[in-house]
Amino acid sequence: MQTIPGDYCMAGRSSVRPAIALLRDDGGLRILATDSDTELVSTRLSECHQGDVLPGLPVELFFKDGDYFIPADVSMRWQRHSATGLLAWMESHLATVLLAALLVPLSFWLTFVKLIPAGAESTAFLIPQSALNELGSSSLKAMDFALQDSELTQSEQNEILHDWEQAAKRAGLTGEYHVIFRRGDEPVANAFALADGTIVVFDGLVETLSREQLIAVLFHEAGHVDHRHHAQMIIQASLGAIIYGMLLGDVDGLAESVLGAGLSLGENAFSRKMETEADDFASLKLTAAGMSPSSLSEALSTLPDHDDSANSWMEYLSTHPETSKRVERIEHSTDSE
Amino acid sequence: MTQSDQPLNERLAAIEFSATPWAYTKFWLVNLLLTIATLGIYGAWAKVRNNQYLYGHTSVEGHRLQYLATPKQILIGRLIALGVLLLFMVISAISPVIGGVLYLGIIPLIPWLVMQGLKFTYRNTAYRNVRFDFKGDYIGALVHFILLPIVAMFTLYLALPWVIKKIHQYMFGNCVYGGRELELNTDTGHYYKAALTVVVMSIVAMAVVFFTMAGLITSIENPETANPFAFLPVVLIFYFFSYLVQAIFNAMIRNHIVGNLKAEGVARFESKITVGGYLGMTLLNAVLILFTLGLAYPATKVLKMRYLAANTTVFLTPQIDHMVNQVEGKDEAFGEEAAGLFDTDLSVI
Repeated sequence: MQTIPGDYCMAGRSSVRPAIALLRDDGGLRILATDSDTELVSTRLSECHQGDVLPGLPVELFFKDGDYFIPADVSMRWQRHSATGLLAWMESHLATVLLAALLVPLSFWLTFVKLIPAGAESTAFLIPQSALNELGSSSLKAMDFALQDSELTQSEQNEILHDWEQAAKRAGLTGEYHVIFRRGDEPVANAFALADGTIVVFDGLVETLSREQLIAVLFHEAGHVDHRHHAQMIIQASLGAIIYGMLLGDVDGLAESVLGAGLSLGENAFSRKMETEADDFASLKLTAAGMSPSSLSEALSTLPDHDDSANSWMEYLSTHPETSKRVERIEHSTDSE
Repeated sequence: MTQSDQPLNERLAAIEFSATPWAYTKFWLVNLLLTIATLGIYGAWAKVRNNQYLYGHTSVEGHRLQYLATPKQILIGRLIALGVLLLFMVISAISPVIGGVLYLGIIPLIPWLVMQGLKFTYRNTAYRNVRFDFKGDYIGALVHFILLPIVAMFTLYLALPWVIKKIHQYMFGNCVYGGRELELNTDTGHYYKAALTVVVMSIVAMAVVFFTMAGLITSIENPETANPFAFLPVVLIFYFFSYLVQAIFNAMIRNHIVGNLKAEGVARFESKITVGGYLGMTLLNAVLILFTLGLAYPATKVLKMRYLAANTTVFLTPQIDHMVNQVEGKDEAFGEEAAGLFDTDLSVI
């Protein structure tokens, strides 16, 4: 039998009586007041419930009426195994700190690189086309503050549009695409797709690439639209914001920058996946249009790396896979056909 | 309070803080890492355990403080607050105009959130099974957290010490324990004295920094070969003074608040922190944080709480043994969590 000194406390009252708990080996439990030697409680340990276990703190034993006994000994534990007991054990060992530290990158990789992209892909259809159209036209409006009208003549533009429409028809492209031309302050060889299917082509790109290479880039951009990558990005960003919000109240300083790094790693992995998908789409459609998929890899090799600052303002453009890898993949798909 | 006002049967109760820096560091790290690894879901449990730990290691006359909120309460509050925040983000993304109007609409909500947050914290804090309560209302929060700060701004901050005093009175003077209202009889003059000391010290600090800097600049003959650490003394002096000014203000104001807080017939308090002691503690903590890149945060928290506990005493009357809880404590955590999310959390002295 164990004799445990402590205090007997009444629910909702500040009066406290010094008491001892007598715990028999068969689980029988009696609480006796030490000031008057009267019995306060007679019950069984299994009918009581143990308070939360915390390192260095005594654990209360609650009785049915809300009264409780609190032992004087801070290391006294009523039940050998409990959920909070396990937590308290973890919280007081250096090894579990290190283990938990390993859990963080594992969980981040799983969430940001695997779960969120997969979730975004499978739920992209939930974002209605009308919302994407709205988003596309408003982002074009915003961008036009920074962009100039194209210097290509109307006939040059019409010629490109004609070639593109022909190629799209031969490839059996079903979506609605609207190709427009713009010019940046500095010469930019670039193109990007907006959520509503608008594809913005910079004059610099037209000047740098051959017509067939240009069509290949347009197929690549059409691939982003076809795979609903904009909807996926919205979902991915929202999920990221939710996670960030969940953690906001709890972490700051160093931990916040770790979290930020995790989020951007995930974003980069996600956008590389999207670029690869768009490349695959373009290869497929180029072949269907009777053109060579290698024109896309030629275009990629011709263009300077996407890392220069002129391109980085469209977020996912700065996070493409390595050009050599993309060229290799496209060439590989050509070989196998 | 003069000697003659003290009830004869009053007894002195020491405050003890029993956590140690290393034990709390391990505790804090495991909870932080589990929170991050579970993408914040465990955060609700971590918050409760953290408060249980810090409250539990704080005892008055051998009785530990109790934190009684449940993780479920916190999690629900957090999810609702997060939902509201996301709704805002989506609305502002779709229509910036409606979003802007909504943000203006939040302003009158801020006092409500602060008030709910205070209420939640007080009601989930208990001593000897009796919960604290907060009786401040919305109008009070609106006046103290929105209107008075605006008044302070329009008086070129001349009214600021008085405004701070009023805010402290709202936060602590509306506290209730077992049906007994706490009184905070602070003196405006004391706040002005503290503020004046801060202003004078800041002028001295600026002068010292200015003259040291001027001396350094004239001593540098060739900027190309100048030692990049030449300005280190200026930076160190600047930081030393900013900690000194804070220590003076906090010591003066905390001692004043704690010394003038009482629950009539139950308890009164005394704080004896010194400028030197407080400065030593904050400087040590700053150095620890700096050299561990923030990892020493939990250790510094323990050192701070230990210092404050050691310099605070409570005088209790026998009435403390006969208090009865008056608060249910099943409040929504939304206000508290939203306040945290919108960064309107208050740090209580």
